[in-house]
Amino acid sequence: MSDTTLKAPAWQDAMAASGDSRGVRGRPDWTDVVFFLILASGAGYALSVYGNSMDYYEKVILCGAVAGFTWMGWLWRPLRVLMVLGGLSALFAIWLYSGGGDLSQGDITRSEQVFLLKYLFSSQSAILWMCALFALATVCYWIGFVSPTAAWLGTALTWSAVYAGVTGMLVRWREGHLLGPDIGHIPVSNLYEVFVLFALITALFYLYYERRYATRALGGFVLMVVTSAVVFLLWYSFTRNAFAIQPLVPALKSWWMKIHVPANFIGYGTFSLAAMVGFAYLVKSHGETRSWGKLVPLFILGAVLCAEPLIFGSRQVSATWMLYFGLGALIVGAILAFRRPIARRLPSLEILDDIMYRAIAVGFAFFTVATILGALWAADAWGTYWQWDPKETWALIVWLNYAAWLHMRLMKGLRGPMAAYWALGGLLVTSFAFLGVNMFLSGLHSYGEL
Amino acid sequence: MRFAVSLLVFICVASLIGTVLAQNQSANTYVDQFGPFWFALFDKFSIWHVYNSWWFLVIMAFLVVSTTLCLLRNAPKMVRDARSFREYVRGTSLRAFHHHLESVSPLGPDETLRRMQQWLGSQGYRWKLRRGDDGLMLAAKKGSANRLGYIFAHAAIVVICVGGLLDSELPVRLQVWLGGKQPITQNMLIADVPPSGRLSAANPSFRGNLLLPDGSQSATAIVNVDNGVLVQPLPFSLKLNKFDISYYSTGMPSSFKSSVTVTDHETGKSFDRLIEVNEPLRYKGVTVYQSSFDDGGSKLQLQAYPLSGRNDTPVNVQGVVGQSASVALPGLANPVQVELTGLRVINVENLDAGQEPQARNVLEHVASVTGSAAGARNEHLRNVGPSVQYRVVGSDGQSYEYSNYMLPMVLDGSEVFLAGVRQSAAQPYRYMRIPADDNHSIGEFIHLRAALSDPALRARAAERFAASNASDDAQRPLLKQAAEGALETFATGGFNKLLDRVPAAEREKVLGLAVPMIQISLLELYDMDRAARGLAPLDRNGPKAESQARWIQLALLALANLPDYPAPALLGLKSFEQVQASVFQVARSPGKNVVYLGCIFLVIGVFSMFYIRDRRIWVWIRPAGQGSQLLAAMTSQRRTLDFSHEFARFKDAFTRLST
Repeated sequence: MSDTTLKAPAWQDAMAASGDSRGVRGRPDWTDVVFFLILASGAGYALSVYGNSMDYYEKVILCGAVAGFTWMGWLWRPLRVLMVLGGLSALFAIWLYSGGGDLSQGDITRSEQVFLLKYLFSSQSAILWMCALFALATVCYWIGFVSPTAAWLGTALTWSAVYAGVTGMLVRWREGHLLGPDIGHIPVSNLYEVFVLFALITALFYLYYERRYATRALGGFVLMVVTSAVVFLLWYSFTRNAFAIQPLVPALKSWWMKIHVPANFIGYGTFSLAAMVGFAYLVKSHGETRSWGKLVPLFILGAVLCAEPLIFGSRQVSATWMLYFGLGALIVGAILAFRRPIARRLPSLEILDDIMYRAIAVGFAFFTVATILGALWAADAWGTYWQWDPKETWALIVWLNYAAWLHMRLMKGLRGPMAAYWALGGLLVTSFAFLGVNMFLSGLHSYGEL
Repeated sequence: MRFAVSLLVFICVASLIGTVLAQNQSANTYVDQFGPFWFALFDKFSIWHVYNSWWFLVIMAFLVVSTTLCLLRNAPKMVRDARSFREYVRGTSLRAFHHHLESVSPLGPDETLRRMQQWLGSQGYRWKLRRGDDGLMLAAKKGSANRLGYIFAHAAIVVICVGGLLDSELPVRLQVWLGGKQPITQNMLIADVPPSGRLSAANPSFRGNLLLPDGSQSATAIVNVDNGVLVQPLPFSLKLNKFDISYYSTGMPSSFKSSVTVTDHETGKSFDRLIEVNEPLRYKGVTVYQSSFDDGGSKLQLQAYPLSGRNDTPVNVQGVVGQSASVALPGLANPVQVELTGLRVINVENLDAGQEPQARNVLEHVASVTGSAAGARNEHLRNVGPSVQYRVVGSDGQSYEYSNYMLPMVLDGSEVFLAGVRQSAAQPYRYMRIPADDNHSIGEFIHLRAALSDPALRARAAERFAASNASDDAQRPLLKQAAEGALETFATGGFNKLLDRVPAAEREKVLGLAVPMIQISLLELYDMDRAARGLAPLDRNGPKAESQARWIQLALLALANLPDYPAPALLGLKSFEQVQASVFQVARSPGKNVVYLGCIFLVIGVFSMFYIRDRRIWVWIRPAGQGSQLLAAMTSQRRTLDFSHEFARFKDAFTRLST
């Protein structure tokens, strides 16, 4: 091996259509085959050992997941590393739970005794690590506006956070089964679990765009929304003990959940990402303005978005949330105050616009699929595919909102600040559909009550 | 186009109202909420059922029509456009494109053409060649299916709306408006329903409910229309063999299962099936879903404990849930009519310190509607056993709802029975805690209550209280009189009545004197009552003294609440024989497959719109001496960043190929 390859930078700062070192996605190579074989053997093992406790559709989903993950690994290489590492650490945690014996057995109380479990690999520890790392990453990304090293660190921390989160979720799945044979289920069943999922998906999409467009300047913006999800998550677990694994209600006991929920959260994740990119777009386009009048709507919108968890999170105003709101407003104000240096570092408006469009397009496609899957599931569980349940109706409103956005863009060539404001405002609608409905409106979809 | 968008915005707003305002409630609820004026106004727009209101349906119809027209007008053009290579474009007009290139190549036109074709082929383009007087025009395109995306996405909206309309309440309503069907509003047996209240067995679209008690059979569903119902005959009959709920260790229901026998009316064949949430039965175009459960007429053995007068013997009452029972209490002129409304065999309650259970309606644990998976905390959840619910019209003409637990539960360290009462389903139950005796029953409390209502006994108890508490003989009659008065007031009106008589400033003082006085005399009273029943007096210093003192204290509190208890008797559950009923949703939805087809269109449409990128390239090659002169242009429906990159690649290739 020559020295030059060793010295090649781990991270090239150049745009790459594939979002990784390949530059352009070629044909699948032998590493894809190996990855496929690893996944397939894992699935094969699961089918042979646990085949009896899976129904036909669950087996199809498992096999579909092998194909899907291989495809995703081909689309974006870093996902393979993430999946392998996450899988290995989850296996390690399972081994720790088993006490070195039979992996299919385990004792949930070992999470209190075994050091590695207690502080690293048990699901709650891993998820708390994720929260901490996301918060740190956000700070690093903002410092990154003056120091490239800090920005690099931001990327590294975000990746670590994602790794910790994936591990935490996988281990959580296992812990459910350790709690009782009938309790375990895929961890996407309540508000706490989907919040973790939301943070992970948003961060992963961001990391992809970061590499694809070779810019770390957006990290601070996108991770703000992830961090607010994390703040909410922490509040939710500390004050409401939301992290406790609960058995599934009968209506949720279905294989549909495994595909409906993740598809939905790809939608929510990318919509939020697009909103934050829209925010960056507006900061960039107002970078040189001296008139505060133009910034007022942006500030108000930003502050309202910060206030949202405050409104949704608790019926009465608590000190914590006031602090959060104040801090949020302060951050938005600070970003606007430092708009010139920030704007100079941000990629061109064209790129921001493109990221916004791409994120919304991906999100819209998945949101469509998720809503359709939801309708199919509802047809089995509630007896009708559509019954104007508040969550369904709000999903429709979100869908129509982004359909209109895309329509205006593709048909009428909508560009510029208007599109960005709309994308940012879309976050209001999205987060109401995501959180507000659970908070204010009751309906069949009340799995994630606050 | 604008019209369609404004319609969509309108639908959004209407849907929004529908989510904020609880739909399909009774008219009274809305009158309470908005007042009669606004109610009448809002009622004109039927915002109580937005999604089935005439104007919502009209908007939907407009949307369908306008989208269809738009589609019919544009689709042929789009298809033609997508198929065409546009090879007849004039060479010189290529310069008008924003993305165009020019170069001169030393190679001859045919060689250049070959190279261009090869490159375009390798990039996935298809091309068409036009040889004209002015040179060669190579027109290439790829990703034309992108245009189909629009067609599919718009067709999807039409198809989904039409399918949804087929499955809405519209078909049944049309039969009411045009078909002379008359919804039934009064109670009657299904057999007595006239033909105008029956829908046809061939009715293509309906959604109804079917309640089946354990062991019973039915072949008709009930369809709700406005404020009445219509009867829908089914092509098969359904017999419920057993309804089964299983629970997790936390007490949360884990599954609802109905084992049924289906008998086909046509062939007479029958088969067994298990209907579960998420596992409906599909047969003969009808789908049967597990939607809820109810009581199917459980048999109850109750004991009515009299709550007034000297009488202390409970009366046995037998009844069936869903029916009325009359309770003849000795001493009361008329029997009390009790409407037995429910039996809950399992009540999982949060017995967190200091919290009284707030019986959640188990019916709300309905198959699909069960609460949050994350909400409940396991540590304090206990199954506190069966409870019975009933309704009695009180002496004030007001109807009250009661909920009593069969077994005592330990709250704050003592065994108590909870007797809940409320005025309407909208309120929470208020509970009276009645202490359980050594036999874990309410009997001793009732004895004490009866004794307290006896003036002679009260007088003797007051005397004994005075005898043991007076400091001298002069004080004794005064003390006796005070105690007797306090006991009497307490017996008829609780502490409140006692307080009503004194000015506010002295209440604290009076309470401080009266409470111990009543408590001690109550003890005396109870001893005398026990003696009359041949029981030993309470042991005031022995090993059980503490628990007995606690009992008396709780009894005192319960007695203080008793005057506010609106019923003349308390019904305790002695035993029961549960009969469950399963509630099914029965539907024939002809539009379902139409909607699913629309969904497939939508997915195809959305994905091809976003992920099939259309590109067109023209290369105009003219001979120029030995070599050739080239003019090329590239275009796309959408100028994205990708397109610019692709143009840059094309430019590279173009320069490379032409040198």
